[in-house]
Amino acid sequence: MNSETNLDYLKYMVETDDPKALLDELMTAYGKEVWNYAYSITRKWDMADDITQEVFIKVYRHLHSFRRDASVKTWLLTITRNTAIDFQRSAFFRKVTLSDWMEERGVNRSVEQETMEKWAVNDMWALVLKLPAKYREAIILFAHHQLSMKEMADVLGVTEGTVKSRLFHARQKLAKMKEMSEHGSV
Amino acid sequence: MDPFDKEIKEQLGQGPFARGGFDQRLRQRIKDRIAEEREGGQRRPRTASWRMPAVTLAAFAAILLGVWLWHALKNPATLPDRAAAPSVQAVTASPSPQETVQPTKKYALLIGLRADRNERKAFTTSTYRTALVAPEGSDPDKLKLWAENEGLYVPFGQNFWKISTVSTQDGRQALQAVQVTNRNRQSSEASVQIPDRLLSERVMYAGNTYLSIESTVLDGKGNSQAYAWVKNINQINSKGKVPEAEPHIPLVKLFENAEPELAGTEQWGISRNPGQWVATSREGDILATALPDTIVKHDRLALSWEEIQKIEPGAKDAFMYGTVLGVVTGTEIRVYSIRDGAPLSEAVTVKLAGRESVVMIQWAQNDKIDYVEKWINDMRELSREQP
Repeated sequence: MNSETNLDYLKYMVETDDPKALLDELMTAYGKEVWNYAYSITRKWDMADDITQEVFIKVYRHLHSFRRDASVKTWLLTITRNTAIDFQRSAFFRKVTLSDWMEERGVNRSVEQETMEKWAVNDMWALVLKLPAKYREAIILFAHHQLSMKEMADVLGVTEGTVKSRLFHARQKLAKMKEMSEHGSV
Repeated sequence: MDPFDKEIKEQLGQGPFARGGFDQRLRQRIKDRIAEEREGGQRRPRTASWRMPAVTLAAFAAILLGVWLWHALKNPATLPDRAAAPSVQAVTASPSPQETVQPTKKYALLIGLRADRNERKAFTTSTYRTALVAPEGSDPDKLKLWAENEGLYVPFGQNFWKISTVSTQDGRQALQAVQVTNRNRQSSEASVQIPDRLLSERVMYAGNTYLSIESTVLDGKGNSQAYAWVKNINQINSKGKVPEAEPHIPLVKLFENAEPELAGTEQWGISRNPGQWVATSREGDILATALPDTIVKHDRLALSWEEIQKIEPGAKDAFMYGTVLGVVTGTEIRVYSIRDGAPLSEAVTVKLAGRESVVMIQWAQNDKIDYVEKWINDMRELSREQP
């Protein structure tokens, strides 16, 4: 997951001036990462599909607004996050907000959410998907996408200090959930 | 590295599911969508200098803000709702097209209009008409207003259905749907029984097989109450004796992934927002701007609002598919053939009456079957049958 290597690759592709080929290569290189991040934010399979589609359409339209010395992955994940926020605002804005609020208090869990967690590839993913949104995002950018603190701060639009704080709380919550899980409490 | 961090990184290194979400199907869907937009006048990304990602995001934000302000200025009373639900689709446009559009591809635009009257004050009655704009002859860019038929003509499958109104002697009004092409003469004149409680029905949206209906009824205390129903076209002629018995499509049937709080929504509607159709609650709050294809198949502008307002400075709403752009101003709808982001000739104009609004936008193209020609023939034939 070395974004710098892929950056060189993107530079090369852009010089070919074939946007369709470039898009194809970007989807090969980052399609899974974009979808996984979209899913991690929304926890809805269909919405992750729609967001991923929208991200690559936006990317296709704005390929040449990408700065050569930036990280392709950070750029894509930032677009993914902004697109996901747009989707959540526009599609069932109030209800998503409401369900997040309720979720923070542990009083609301959708059937879809529970099903997806059961399908998770391992216990850690199942636990991470249960974290509140801001901790979930931080830990996934850190551990799955393996971004640096600076890159995470850029994607999330917060300071590095805030990222560190969220990661700290995410680890604490995960450790607690893991412990409870091992005792059959979750 | 902290052992727990190591464990987290190891376990989260792979994706969340054994079955990856980004698969060949989704990849093809994205390619198809881009191809569709390119054909519809979208552009190849410019070979301009690279810019910072922040500039891109700032541009998105600026356009989003523009759309938000535009909505707000247009309808200040609903400011909080509009602000909460910015138009995703209206902010997607970008620079002028460079792509070669198939020169022989023809597109037809069918516009359904509803004009409201409120003579009786207690409820609103309406009239409908349908306008067809399509190319004349072999030149796909030479557009013509082929028909302006009384009633709402909804293409459904291979046929047209006419949505018209039937009235009682005391002025109450209900909707009636009749298949008017390839019809079985014996069964075509569906009778409509208007329940005593029903004051009026109005079409808010028509497209594919669905109609969004506002139904005004008298409650037990003699007060009028408005209900919002989405119906299949086959349900139009059936009227429930009480609102609870009204045939309709619950929200979850069309939005399978609706949040649990919305999954039980029976009353909802579809209405026009600048640049797109949106799903609304009974109270008119926007629930969703991304509507499934089963409701709206083509609802994406291939030009930015900036580009549209360059063409029509007074634009209040717009719709586009293929090479055809329709722009709603205060007094008319102006329809252009667009190539490379610019109109090719003078607009075809559909004049709007007072209190008249768009309730249907349907598109046809000359694919394997020449639906453009079929629509022209059908609508001209139907205009001859008008009283």
